[in-house]
Amino acid sequence: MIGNDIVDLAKAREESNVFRPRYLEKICKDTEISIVKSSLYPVETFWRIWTMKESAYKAWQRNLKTIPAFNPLAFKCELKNSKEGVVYHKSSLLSTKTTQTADFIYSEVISTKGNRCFFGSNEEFLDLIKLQYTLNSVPELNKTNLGLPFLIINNKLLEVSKTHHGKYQVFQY
Amino acid sequence: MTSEAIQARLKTIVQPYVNHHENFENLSLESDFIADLEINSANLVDVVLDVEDEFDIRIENEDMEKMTNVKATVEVIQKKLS
Repeated sequence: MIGNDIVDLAKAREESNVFRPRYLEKICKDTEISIVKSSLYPVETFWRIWTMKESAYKAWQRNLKTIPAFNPLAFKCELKNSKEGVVYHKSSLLSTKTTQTADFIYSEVISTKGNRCFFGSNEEFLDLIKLQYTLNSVPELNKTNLGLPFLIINNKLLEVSKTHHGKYQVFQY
Repeated sequence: MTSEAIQARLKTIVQPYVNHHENFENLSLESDFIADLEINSANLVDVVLDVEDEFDIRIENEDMEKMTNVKATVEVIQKKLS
């Protein structure tokens, strides 16, 4: 399964006040609010939980072909260490890996297939795919009717998850 | 309150979060917050909170879940006000 999400921290500071009254309660379960509030870096910890939920949501959405819904409280996060975590939804769970720098927080679901990720523009990504699969031409990035990106490589489907925020864009495939 | 009146107030609420200004100018019941107006998903929470403040209502999670487009949001507000 694939699903990823990035938050550009500078852009997030401009766009969102996560300590606005009732904001956290609309997104986080009680256990997650405790984690955020007891953290030395509450804003970053909140965005870590947010990106974990978003990446897991994207993975399940693709898998279950569900229509988009906005239900962050239907997902419960557990942080294992500074990188790894688990997201629970109904009777399922997905493991996630988070990369955090001073500038961004990036989470993606961990798949047994060992997915790859690439930071860059659409053009750079498609050029890389052309090289990796030794194609004659640059492939086209398509979207399903739910808006989920995919590529057709040598008549085979290659699913792609794309996240974009502020200065950053990341592909998982 | 009529659906048109709610939609007009909703348009003012979503404006600061919109990233696609042309689609915002042509906002209709069919407009999707993310696909059409390109509102960042983290700002959907702000839209919900602003709606709560503007109409003096409280929105539960099962209603928030539907609030990804103008039509569903107007319906949630109308139900709460009735």
